[in-house]
Amino acid sequence: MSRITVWIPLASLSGQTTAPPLKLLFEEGDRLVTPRPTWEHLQHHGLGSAAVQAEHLFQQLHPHPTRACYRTRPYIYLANPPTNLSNANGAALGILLGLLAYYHYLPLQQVMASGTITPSNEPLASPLHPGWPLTSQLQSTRQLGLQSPPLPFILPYAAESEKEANQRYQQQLATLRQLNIQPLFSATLGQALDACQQTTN
Amino acid sequence: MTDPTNRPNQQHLWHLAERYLEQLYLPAEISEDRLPLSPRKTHETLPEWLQRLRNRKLVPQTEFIRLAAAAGGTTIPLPDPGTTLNSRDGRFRLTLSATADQQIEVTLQAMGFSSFDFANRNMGLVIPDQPDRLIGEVLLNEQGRGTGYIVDNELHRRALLKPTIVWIQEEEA
Repeated sequence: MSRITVWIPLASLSGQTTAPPLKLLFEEGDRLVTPRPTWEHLQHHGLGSAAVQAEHLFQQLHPHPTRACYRTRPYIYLANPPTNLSNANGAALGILLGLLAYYHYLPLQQVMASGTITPSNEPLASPLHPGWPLTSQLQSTRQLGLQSPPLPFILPYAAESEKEANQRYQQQLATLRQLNIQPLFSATLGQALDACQQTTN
Repeated sequence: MTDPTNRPNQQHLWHLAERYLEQLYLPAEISEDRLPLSPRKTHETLPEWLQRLRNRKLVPQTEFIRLAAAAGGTTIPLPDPGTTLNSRDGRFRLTLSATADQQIEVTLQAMGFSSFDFANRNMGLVIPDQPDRLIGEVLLNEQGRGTGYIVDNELHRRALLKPTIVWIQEEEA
């Protein structure tokens, strides 16, 4: 079974240094135990609450999982755990996309995602909020270098509209496109999932 | 009862105290019992205490880099609950958490051989790039661990985006 790779850009809150993105790997795990994912490998790195939020959203989106969900549970771990991850709530979107890809709800092998999800009763309408500060996260993304195949990068609007966001971060986004990283702006979780459905890598 | 501040020698002391308090860049709403000052020692008079505060030197030690995965929000965030930060040089660990009474609990732990070096020493947190602006103190115990409290306001939260540690070296007058 293939491996799902999820990248989550990191920002330095003091805005002075850049760090490489988090690399989350979803691999086939145990077959005989409960199919629910376990988060023990993420909790040690401060990603526990983000993982729980992602699991809750996953259950809202798919309350009646397919047979594939009961076959194996994913083994999820961080390939490059940072020592100073202080705020990790924005990792929930990436973990959710990784879970959906692992259970074949999304046709992805790798994805990058940034943004905080505000929970709502209608999960697809849950708004995404840009990270703070976004410039630092875009610099973090650049450290991945040239990608092949193209890497979809889900990020919320950093401004009132996609056009304004494109203008404000024109230079950084152009650099990412040169590196074969495709920024896909989304205002809600539903838009983010649609963008992922239209992308194949 | 007469006002003690009317006496000339007491007035001088009060002027002296006010001058030192002004140098601390404190927001006006903070009451005096929550000042980020090291407490008065037993049998220490007010002039001796003020003189001791004046003679101390802040020696920069290290800083902490805080990384965030899209830490959005309107307020300046503290680290997620249960998150421990490691200093750049690996000598210290820091935990920050908000308390119910509008304060931030700061727990500082010196690691490895540094716990011997900094045992029973008074450490401080300063505003980044301004090593003379102290925002809080932490007295480490014999194991190199200590807890202190600072007022939870925007200035301090902004400073804690890059916590910077100093050693408060007290020089003899």
